[in-house]
Amino acid sequence: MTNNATTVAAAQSAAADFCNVHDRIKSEVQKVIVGQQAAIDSVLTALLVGGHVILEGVPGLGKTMLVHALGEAVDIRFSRIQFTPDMMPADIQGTNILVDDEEGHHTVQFQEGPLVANLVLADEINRATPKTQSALLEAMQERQISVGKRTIKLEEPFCVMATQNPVEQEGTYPLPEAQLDRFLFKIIVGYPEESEYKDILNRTTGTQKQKAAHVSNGDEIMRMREVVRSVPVPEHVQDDAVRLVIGTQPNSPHACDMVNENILLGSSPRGAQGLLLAGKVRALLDGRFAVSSDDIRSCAHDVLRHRVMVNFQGQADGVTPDHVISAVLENVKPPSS
Amino acid sequence: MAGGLDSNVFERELDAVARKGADVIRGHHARTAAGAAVDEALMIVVALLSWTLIAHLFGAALSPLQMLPWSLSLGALWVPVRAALASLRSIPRKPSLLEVDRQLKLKDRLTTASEFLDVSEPTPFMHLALQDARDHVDDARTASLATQSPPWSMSQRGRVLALVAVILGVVAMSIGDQAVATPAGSGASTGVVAEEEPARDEPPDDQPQPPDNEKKSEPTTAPPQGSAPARPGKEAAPPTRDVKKSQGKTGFGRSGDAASSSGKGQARGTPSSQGQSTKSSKERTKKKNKKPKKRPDRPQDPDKERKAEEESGHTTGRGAASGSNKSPAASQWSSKDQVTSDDEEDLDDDEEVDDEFDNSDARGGLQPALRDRKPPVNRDLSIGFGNMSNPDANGRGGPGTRKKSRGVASLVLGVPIPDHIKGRPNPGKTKITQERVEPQPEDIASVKASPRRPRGTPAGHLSNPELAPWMQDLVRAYFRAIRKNSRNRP
Repeated sequence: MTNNATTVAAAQSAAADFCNVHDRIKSEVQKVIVGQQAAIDSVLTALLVGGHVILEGVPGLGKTMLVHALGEAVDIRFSRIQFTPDMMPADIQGTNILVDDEEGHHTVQFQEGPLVANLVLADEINRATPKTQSALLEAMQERQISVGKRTIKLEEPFCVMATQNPVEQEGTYPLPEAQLDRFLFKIIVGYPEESEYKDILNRTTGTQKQKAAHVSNGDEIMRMREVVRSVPVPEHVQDDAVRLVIGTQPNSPHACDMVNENILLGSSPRGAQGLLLAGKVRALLDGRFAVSSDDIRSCAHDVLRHRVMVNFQGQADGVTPDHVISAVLENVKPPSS
Repeated sequence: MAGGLDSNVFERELDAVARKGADVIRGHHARTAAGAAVDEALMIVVALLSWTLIAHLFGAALSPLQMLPWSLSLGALWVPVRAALASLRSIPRKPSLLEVDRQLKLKDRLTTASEFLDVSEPTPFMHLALQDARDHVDDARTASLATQSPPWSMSQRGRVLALVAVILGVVAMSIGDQAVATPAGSGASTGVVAEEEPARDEPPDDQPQPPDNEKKSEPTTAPPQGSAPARPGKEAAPPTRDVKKSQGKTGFGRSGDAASSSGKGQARGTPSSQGQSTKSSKERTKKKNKKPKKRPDRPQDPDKERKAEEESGHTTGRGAASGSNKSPAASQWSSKDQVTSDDEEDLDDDEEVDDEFDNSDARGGLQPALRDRKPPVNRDLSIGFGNMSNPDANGRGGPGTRKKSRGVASLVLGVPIPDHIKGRPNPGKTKITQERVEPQPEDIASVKASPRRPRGTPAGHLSNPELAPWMQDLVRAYFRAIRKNSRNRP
């Protein structure tokens, strides 16, 4: 009984710590980024569950700055890769180079690329060729990179935060579905509110440069990930997540007309995994200890929008993945209704 | 249990809350069922009234007016019965708690707790979730839950049924009134009704009276009572003299020949159309003069058309064009055209026929004025089929040519186009001309080498670039050193 009470108290303390760490990092990021609350929450959620994020928005909205601020707020190894069309996989993974040793002999030595870090900012990821983009696949899924005969285990926490620009598509290479599926969230970064503009101007045009301080570290992030994984998910919420994901697949039992007519490819089971993981974070931040249907539904857009592919007819009719997901949320009723 | 939480007590509390939720769901079900039962109730009313009226028509001793309140009350009873049946259904605990969670915005706390109570070895977070739910269960017990009634709206079927029920009700009432005025079995009253009947059916005075021989033949040719299409309610009444009189006036006894003769006349008049007799002979001759003008051109036109098709290069449409007369519509019209009759020429819509004739004259006969005889447009948007045949080809125009794999359309449709061809400045073929010439030996005397003689002519302008001061010093020192050495030599 005492042991049980201790573990319960420890769990309660861990949940409180989670909220505390989240709030600390968020407040530090907010010193640099004005507004974009949803984007900050989503980015932090991804970091705390061990997922990758792709941020999409027009230039100048602070996507890169947001990830940069996150890298500053958490004391982890941060690296930035500016993707270009002529970039090769060896440029990001690393390669063997010839170096002189102390005795004047030449030896081959492996030089790590920028991918060997904790938080990787893949800026304008769609400007790289698919060959280079695919170099990220192993790192994102298996948390390791293979170069020649060498396999390097990436240090945890490992998180890739990519940015891309929805305009200026000329000369870009859209990410393949296999790679998009590996991102936990696709976050649409929108324009700031009118009230936020003044704050942005004051912070960026003055003499003082805003900088985030280290308020957390990699070990703490890893502990928080354990806490998130401990949050239980009731059966009816799991059913709801499964039905939502199946509802995005055309000609499935839960698919609505909009899905059947406009979707070429629905979400994979990774979508359901993402819904539950993100729902766990939302539940903890809301002061609850179990995931509810509202939690998974609130993050459905971020989790599923890059996992559904609109077909040619849908594109011609102006249907976007967000329209489809809204239709799925409306069609697949939550268990309480 | 952790945190002083007794699972049995908590389960009982959850049961109490679940009962409240179940009541709400039952109420919702009852209202939904009641809404759906309105249609069924109307159907019952309509069915009963229809059955009563039909039975009444066939002489059953059922009064529609008496049946009307019965059917209405039965229909009205059906709605609460269905609602009661729906509310009797047992509601499981989970949906009941979900309903409470939803109404009180508890984010599935109670449902989750109910599920975690059944877990044999709950995790610390499950314990915390149970404690969290325990904090809210008291509020849930005291809170009042609202039964949401679904928005009721009569379906299209319900509206139709209601209309039919009203009509049937009115009919039943009107028949009932007659039935009340003429109780069944009283011959005198039947006679009154029968008296009124001939008055309604009596032809007006200006109409020609039937011939006398018909009148005389009425009693002999009158159909038997059983076979006559008697009105409802009259069959039971015994035949009276008045009835016999009325039969004679309404034409029951009219002979079959008289009836058929009038019918023949109508049948004969039908094909000759209206207005035939009103057509003047001038108009008829005018049309006759009109058509022969065009007919001599007709045999030439198909050849012209075929030639035009060949010249235009519509290979895909040739089959459709040459086979146009094989279409059922075309063959009917052309066959009609060959057998010209006066009736066709005397159609009322002469002008339209002429237009059609003008349009299709070149096609070897009078044909329907189709919009055009061009091959159907190929609406296949795919980008070619390689060497394979077009899977969508249905023989109408045949498969089109291979679509372009370059250009804006292909870019939109996502056909990969190489940006460049390796080793070539521009995409496309490069013409390479090679000349194969066998080398031929030439007889030329070899040039002998000789020593070079000194220059005899001025060398011309030699540039004398300005050297930097330090270079000038260097050159000066170099030559001085050479001279010094040469002086020292013996």
